[in-house]
Amino acid sequence: MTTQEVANQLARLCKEGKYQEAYGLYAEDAVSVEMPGVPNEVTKGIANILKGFETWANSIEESHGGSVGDPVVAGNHFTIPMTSDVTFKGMGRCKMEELCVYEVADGKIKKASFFYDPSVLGG
Amino acid sequence: MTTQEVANRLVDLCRQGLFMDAIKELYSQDIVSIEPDGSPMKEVKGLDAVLQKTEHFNTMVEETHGGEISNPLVADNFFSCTIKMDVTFKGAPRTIMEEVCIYKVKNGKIVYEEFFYTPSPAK
Repeated sequence: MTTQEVANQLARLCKEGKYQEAYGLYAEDAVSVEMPGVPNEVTKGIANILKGFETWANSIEESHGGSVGDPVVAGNHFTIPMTSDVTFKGMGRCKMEELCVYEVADGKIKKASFFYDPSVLGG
Repeated sequence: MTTQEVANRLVDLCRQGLFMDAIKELYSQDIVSIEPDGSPMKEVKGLDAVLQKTEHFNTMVEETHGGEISNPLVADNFFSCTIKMDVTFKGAPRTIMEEVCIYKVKNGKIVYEEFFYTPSPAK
């Protein structure tokens, strides 16, 4: 798959809420990078990334809304803007906007980097 | 200026080729500039150093044949755009560079920039 095809598929699956399937686009040795200072800033390997996703999903009490934008591609990288509005268990409601940057190699996502204001997470 | 205004202004100046003016007008004294792993200037800090880096880049360019800068995507205090450049560097064949750029804005100034591309592979 080209970078554009990976980008389109990821955006489509995320828009449909098919996150597990979306992680199928990741390489086995993918790396996921959160903002500096956030717990588990760097996660390596798809098994650990999936575990991190499940922990995050389980911490959500209620999802009020969110959006996934269209990807913008340059070379073997692309960006997707996303917003979320969720209530985390015992933490309250949190609205956030982020830019997600992905690197593609051999038709798979090799690295995902997320950019947002960590203070909105209540840290 | 809001993040959207800074983003629009940066894209506007860069489309006119006014890269140095964009840096002088919009960057904070404390700017941090990050290139991918494996690039010669992985991390540069401070406005003067970033201006020097840009001047150094300009001196390496033999001819610019064209370029394209996307409209910015804004999320909270971050924005992203893509840059495609068709350039000939001195002593090298004509090349097309494509990258995703991420910027962080604080108090109306750009305080962080990170570029995503794969540094030239061994041929």
